[in-house]
This record gives sequence, C-alpha cells and structure tokens, in this order.
Amino acid sequence: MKKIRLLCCLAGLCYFATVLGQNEKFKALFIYNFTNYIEWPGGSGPAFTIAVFGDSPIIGELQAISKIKKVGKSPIEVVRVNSPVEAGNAQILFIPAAKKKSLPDVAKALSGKPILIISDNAQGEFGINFIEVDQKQSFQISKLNMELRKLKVNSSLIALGIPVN
Amino acid sequence: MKPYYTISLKAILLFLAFLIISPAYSQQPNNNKKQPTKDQILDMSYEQLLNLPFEDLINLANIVGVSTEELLQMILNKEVTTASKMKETIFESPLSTSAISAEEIRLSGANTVEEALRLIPGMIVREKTNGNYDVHIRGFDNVPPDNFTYFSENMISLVMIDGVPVYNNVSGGTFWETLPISINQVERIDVVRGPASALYGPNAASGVINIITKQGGNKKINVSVDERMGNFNTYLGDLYVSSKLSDKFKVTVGAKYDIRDRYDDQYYSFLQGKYIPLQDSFAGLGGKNYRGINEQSLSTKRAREVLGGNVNLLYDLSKDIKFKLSGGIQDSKVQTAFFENLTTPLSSRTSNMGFFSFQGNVKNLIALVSYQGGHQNLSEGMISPVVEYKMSNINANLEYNFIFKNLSIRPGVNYQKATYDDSKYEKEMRIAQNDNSINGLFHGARTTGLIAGSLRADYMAFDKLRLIGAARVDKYDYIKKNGLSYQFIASYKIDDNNLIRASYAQANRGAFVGDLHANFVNQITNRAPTQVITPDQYAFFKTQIPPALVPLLPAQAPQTKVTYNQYFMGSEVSGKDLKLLTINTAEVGWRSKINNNVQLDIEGFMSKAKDFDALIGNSINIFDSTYTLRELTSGLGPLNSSGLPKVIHVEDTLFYLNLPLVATQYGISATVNISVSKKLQFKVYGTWQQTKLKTHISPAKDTSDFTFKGTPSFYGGLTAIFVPTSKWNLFVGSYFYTSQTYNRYYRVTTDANATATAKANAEDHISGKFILDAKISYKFWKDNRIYIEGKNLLFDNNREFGFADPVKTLILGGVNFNF
Repeated sequence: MKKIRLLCCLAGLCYFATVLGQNEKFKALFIYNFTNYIEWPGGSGPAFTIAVFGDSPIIGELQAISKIKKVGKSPIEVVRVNSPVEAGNAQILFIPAAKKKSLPDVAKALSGKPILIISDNAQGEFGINFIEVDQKQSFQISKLNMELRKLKVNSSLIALGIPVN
Repeated sequence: MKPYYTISLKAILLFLAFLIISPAYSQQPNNNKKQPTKDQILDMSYEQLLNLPFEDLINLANIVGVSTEELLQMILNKEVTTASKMKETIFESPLSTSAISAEEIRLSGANTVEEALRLIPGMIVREKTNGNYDVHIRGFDNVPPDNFTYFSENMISLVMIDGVPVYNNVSGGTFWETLPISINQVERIDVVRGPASALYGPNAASGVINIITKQGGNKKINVSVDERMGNFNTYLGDLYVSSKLSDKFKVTVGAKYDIRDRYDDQYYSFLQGKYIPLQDSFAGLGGKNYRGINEQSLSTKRAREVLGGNVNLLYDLSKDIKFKLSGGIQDSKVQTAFFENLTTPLSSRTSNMGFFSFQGNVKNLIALVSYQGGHQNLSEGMISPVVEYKMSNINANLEYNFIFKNLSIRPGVNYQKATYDDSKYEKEMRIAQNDNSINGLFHGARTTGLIAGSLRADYMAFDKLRLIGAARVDKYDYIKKNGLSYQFIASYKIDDNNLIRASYAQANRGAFVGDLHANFVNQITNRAPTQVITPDQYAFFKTQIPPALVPLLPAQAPQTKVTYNQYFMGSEVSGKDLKLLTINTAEVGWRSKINNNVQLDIEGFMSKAKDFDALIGNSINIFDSTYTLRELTSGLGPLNSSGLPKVIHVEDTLFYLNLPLVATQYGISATVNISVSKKLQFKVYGTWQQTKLKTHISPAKDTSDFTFKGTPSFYGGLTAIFVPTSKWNLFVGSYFYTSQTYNRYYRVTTDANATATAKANAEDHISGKFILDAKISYKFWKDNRIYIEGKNLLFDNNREFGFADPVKTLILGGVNFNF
C-alpha cells in the first residue's frame, strides 16, 4: 500500500505541475496558408477576419501570426465569437474540437455565406476539417462546400489535403 | 488443439534482440542527415515557419506529429456512443462513461480486451490463470458470498461487440475467450458504469462494456499483423485487414490465436485446504469413486488455446443509409475457475461457435439482427452433471430516432431467444460410462427469451441543460413479473470546461437457462452396502429381541445400502417463482477541464441490489427401510421389522430461489488525465467503495449483516505514456487493488470441527497487489514496430482470484507490421 500512496502523491504533484508545450501552432499555420489558396468574393475588405467559436488556445497562435502576416493587403483580425451569427462578416470561422457538435447548427446559420468553415476532428458540412492520420496533422477539404459558399479554391490545395464531398 | 509452436524462448529472444539492434543502427542515421529533428522544428520561429511553402510546412508538421497535448485532447474529446446510443464526447456524456482507444491499447501492450479493461476506471479485473480474467464493473463480485465458484462470475454486466450482446445465456456471464475479434481490430472500448438496461436491455445492471471494432480505412488495402511470444509458452497472433473496394463498399477481416501455459501446475484442494498436484486433489472426496469429474480431462499445463476470426462487409450507400454484415467463428479451450468440480476450482471450458449479425441504418431507423450458435462444454470430463450442450441465441432489435429540434424520442422493440440442448451429450456420456442415471445440466432442450419495448427521450435546453428519461419493459418467458428498467438523467454544462450530472436508474439481470431450467441429480454416493450399524448398536439390538432368535442372527451386524442424491432444480423445474436481480443506482458526477493539460472526472454513486438468486438447500428427505427379523434369521424368524436399517435414501433438494439478501454499495471514482510535458502523459484513476450486506444467510443458516470484504475497498490504475521521439514509445502502467477475502461454499455437517475446517478451507485472503506493466516499442521502418512488454514486473506472485493460480511475471517480445 505504501507504493500506492507514493504513486498517488506523485500524481498529485503532477496535477499541480506547470505545463507548457506547443498547442495549436501548426493548425494556426495551416489556416494562414489556406488563405493563399482561396479567393473570397469581393476580396477580404479592410481586414481579414478569422473568427474562433468559443474558447480555444488557437486564438493566441492566430494572434501571433496576425502580428507578422497579412492576407493580401489586409491585416488579420482574430476574434472570439459566442455564436455563429457573430461570425457573419468573417472570412474564416474556426470551430474547435470541443464545439464540433455545433457544426450542423453553425453551417445552417451561415448557410450560403462566403465563409470558410474550418472544423477540428468533426463530421458534417465543413470547408476544411483538421484530422489526425497516423498521429500526423492532416486536413480534409470539401471543394463542393466551398463552391456553395462562392469561395474559389486552388486545385493545388485540394491536392495537399484529403478531398471529401 | 495442439501447441502450434515448439521454438525455444531463447531463440525468440535472440531474434527479437536482432530486430531491435539492426534497424536502430541501419536506418536512423540516414533519416537524420536530411531532415530536421522534431526539437529543431519546435524551436523554429513563426517568421521562419510562415515563410515556408505550404508543402514544406506540411512535411515539418509530419515530423512533429500530433503533439502530446493534442493526444490528450483526443483522449478528453474522445467520442463515445454507448452512454446515449449517439455520438458525443466523453466530456459531454451524461453518465459515468470512459473509453480507451486503439492507440491507448496499442501503447499499453494489452493482449486481450479483458486486460485492456484495466485501463478504465471502475473496473475490477483479476487474472485467474494466464490470460483468463475475472471482470467486474464497480463490484458486487461474488455476492452473495459462500457460494460455488460458478456464482463468482460477473452475471450482471452487459458485454457487446458493436452493440451485439455476447454474454452467455446459461448464467449471464461473459466467456471472454469466445469473442471472435482480435485486439488490433478494436477501435475503442466504451464502458458505462451503472445501470443502463433502459437503453440496452437485461444484464446492463452494473454497467455496459461495448467493444467497437474498426470500420475499415480509406486505403485500397490495409494490413496489420502482430506476433508476440513470451515465457509460459505464450504465443499470440493477430491479423487485421481492411480493404476499400469502392467508395461505398469496404471489407474487414480479423483473426487471432492465443496460446498460453499456466503459471503453475498445482491445484487447490477444497478438502485439504492447500495447493497440491492434480491427482491428489481428488483423493478424499470420494476418491476414485467420485463420479463428478474425470480428472484426466484437465491438462496441468495449458491455460488457454484460442482461435477466432471474423469477416465484415460494410456498405455505405449514402451518409444516412449504411449496412453492415458480419460473420465470425471461434474455437477455444481455457482452464479457468468457473464450473468447479467440487474438488478443485479449475476446470476446462471448450467452445466452438459461430456468429452472424446484420446491422442497418436507414436515416433514423436502426435495425439489428444477430445469431450466435455452436457447441460448449463448461467443464470437460464432468459427468455429474454433463455440462456440454448445443446452443443458439437470436437477438433482434429495431429502433427509430425521431428528432424535433432539441428533442429526440427513440422508441424501440427487442426480441431475444436462446436455446440450450444437452440431450445429445447426455446420451453419449451414458453410453460411454454405461450408466443411464447420468444427467445433463438441463436434461433436454431448454429455452429462455423475452420481448421488450422501450422509449427514450433526450432534451437539450439552452444548449446547456440536458434531460434524459428512458424506460423499458421486458416480458420474459417463464418469469411472471415483467422487468421494468428506467433511467432519469440530468446534465448541466456550466461552461465549456465544466459539466455536472446526476442520474437515478433501475436495471435487472436477465432470465437465464441455468436459473430457470437446471435439472439434474448428483448421485454423490450410490455404492455397495456399507457398515452403518455399529457393533454397540448391534449388541443393544440383540437385547431387544426374543432370546431364541439371537443365535440365528449373523455374527457381524448387517450392512446398509446408502444413497445420497442431490437434486438441482431451476425455478421452472421446481415451480418456484423467481424474481430477477435488480439494481437501483443514484449517481452524481463532475467533469472539468482544469486547463488545456488536465481533465478531472469525479463520480459518486450508491447502488442497492436485491433479489439475488442462488441454489438453496430446500429440504432433506430421508427415506429408509429396515431389515425384517425373518431376513436376519435365515427365514426362521417373524416378518416383524428389526429396526435395523437396510436402505437409507437421502434426497437433498436444492432450488434456485431468491434470497432475502440486500447489498448496498457506496463509492467514489476519480480520474485525472494529465499532460505533464509535450512528451509525457499521465492518467491516474481510482475507486473507493464499501459494500454492506444485509440478511446474508450462511451455509450454516446463520443470518447476519456485515461489511463485505470480497470487493477491494480501493482499486485503480496509473499509466504513463512517454514519447521521447517519433520512433520510440514507452508505456508504464499499473493496476492495483487492496486486499480482499473470497468466500466459497462450504459444507456444514454435524461434526463441528469438520465444518470449521471446511469453512477455513473455503476462505481465501487475497493480498493487495500493485501490478506493474511496461511496454517499449520502436518504429524501425515506416509504420512497423518491434516491442518488448512485461506484465507484473514487481514479481508479485500472489494470486488475484480466490483459489486460482498464482500470477507470475510474463515477458513478451513482438513485432507489428502495417502496410
């Protein structure tokens, strides 16, 4: 029983351990790269808005990129939204894995709008969906979904991802 | 079945050492020259990464792989389907739900589904013999105590493969070795702790274990082969193949073999109260005249010989229309503690079975038909009774999910029928033994079945409050009272990181063929006349008869023929009404994502179980006849009775009856998932529980209330996954439990000392145990790995289950090819 107690103590210590590490860095980098392959009707306007549905550590990663890069000539604005309606004027809406169950409602609320919906490990009506394949970051891409939203996607992006309908 | 391998352990280890060393020296340098390491990539700045072409960025991301934090997120956001029959993350699940993924199973080195269940909170998993386990959810294991080994089996949990029940219909327990799937074929195992019969039907009383298999990949063909070898002649093989024949049609194939020797070659003798060689364990209890078992049928060495395979055809016509057709076969023989022979707890169980199922999803209509049939022998060589039979189980389920905005209503109907027939084997044994008094367990073809209707409503209010109500009524064959099970559940999502939940549920055990139709006579003694009348009694008798007859009497007292028959009767045979075991459970729980790296899951529960049933001594009837004086005096005396017994016939009748026993369990389970760094993950989980028994009747007919010591008061596990590089994986895990006491049935006689000895011999104190397992694997080329894994690495040889084998250290080496 001493061993059990020792291990419980160790687990307790771990609980309070300071934890650091890379989070959604590559997903944020991928999102920025997607913008080089996609055209939005009427361009991006004064600012290119990336909305994130709910809390997600990707917000910080995207903000770091927004300080360095622009989309075309437009600065990148990263906003957190609490409902899909708030993302009505954004160019991209990212739905974190924790909110993936909301994807059908989000897709319905933003039906026909020129917004690239990027989900994370979800199923349903997305433009792009991050998935892990053999513990590697990859993404599914739906040309059909983007065309329905009047987004023009370069075929080389489709070739880099996993095409789905 | 014969051993498949004769390769020595040394040769295997040498081969594995070669496999480990050679790729490490031959391949790694080439990779390192051209590509940056993972650490170098992680040190790159945003500017550097943002200036790369997307193709190069993807390549770097591939080298980095999915980070451990994301792995943790995958664990926290793992989808389950069993708690609500719909997809939801574990975080959202309204019940006490846990799951383990294929990746966790692979990293842990679990060889079987049962072993993998040690990675799940709330599971009590004890190894009986090498590779054969006792599995319980939360507890109520061996309740009521003081019973035969048969009743220690978990008969109150529902085990399924892809939603198809796979428990046996003799007792409701699961013969794990008969599952035709391979461990590499498992996509996920969902466990729901607590009653769920309202959703799934009978036996989901203490919980549900649903094994979800892989549904094929997107590759044209994908093959995974796994081979392991280790000490105790352990040879394990596993094959999984999936093929995408078209956009709509996939085929998957799974196959396995699992061969192991026992950890020990001795057997526990209930009579002598110690472990002794097999032959000696039969001495004393009737010796060679004891007709219960043919001891030659037990192999002192082999613990497990298992073969299994399955084929699945998956047809996805569209997103909403899917069909799956599955078939499988298995052949197994295991030596484990289940259908004991009264002398030792171990017996050999053989099964040769086939499985078939069809599942169809058309929009919101879900249909399932399954069949399981074949041949089983619960205890090879046993002739009193013969427990060999042919069996078939049919299950059909139809449900429709109506969805109105935030409300879903799911009505369903279910039909089940099981048939067990031992007449062929009873007849064969009678001929083989030249004895027409031999009985089968059921003495013919017997059935059990049910028809049920269920309704479930699931409502989500304000995207935060979820309310669920479900009820099911089962009309069982042979059981007078319909089974009613229900669930009331509420969960509230405080915010994205916190969810609280509460539930109250009732569920019942099923009605099984053993409890209903057991019907055999155990002729414990049926021998030549023996000397029952003592010399003193004979001398006294001589003083009581006319003196003229005394010289005509035989010099020695006459012998008496004694027969002792035990009649075992199920409720349908005895005509006694049987109520099904029912468990009511109240639970509360809280899940919290403390931060991106830590998730906490706590649940508190209180369960009350009643209407246990067991074989109970109902009556002992003694019939005797006496010698006449004429018989004793060579035909010269009168026909009057002498009073001296000529025949004594004892009929001991045991019925399956409900007990007044009520068992109450209180407990708390907690799980903490932690990502300490990007290379190290921990999972810590434990359950504290206390079970109180009220109105327990001992074999001596004493009634008492007490705290039950058969379930460990604290049990759980700790796992650590260390991923130092993309090629190396290290898993260190422990499963632990505190001490417990197993109480088997003991025979009460008029001799107080003999009874005390029998009681002591039937009690096994199982020490607390800290079982340390580890696995190290190396990816030597693409997705192909070699590995070494060790079980019980602290060399604690204490047994884990009452009177079963000591559990020793098992070292396995293996190779896994994926292409």
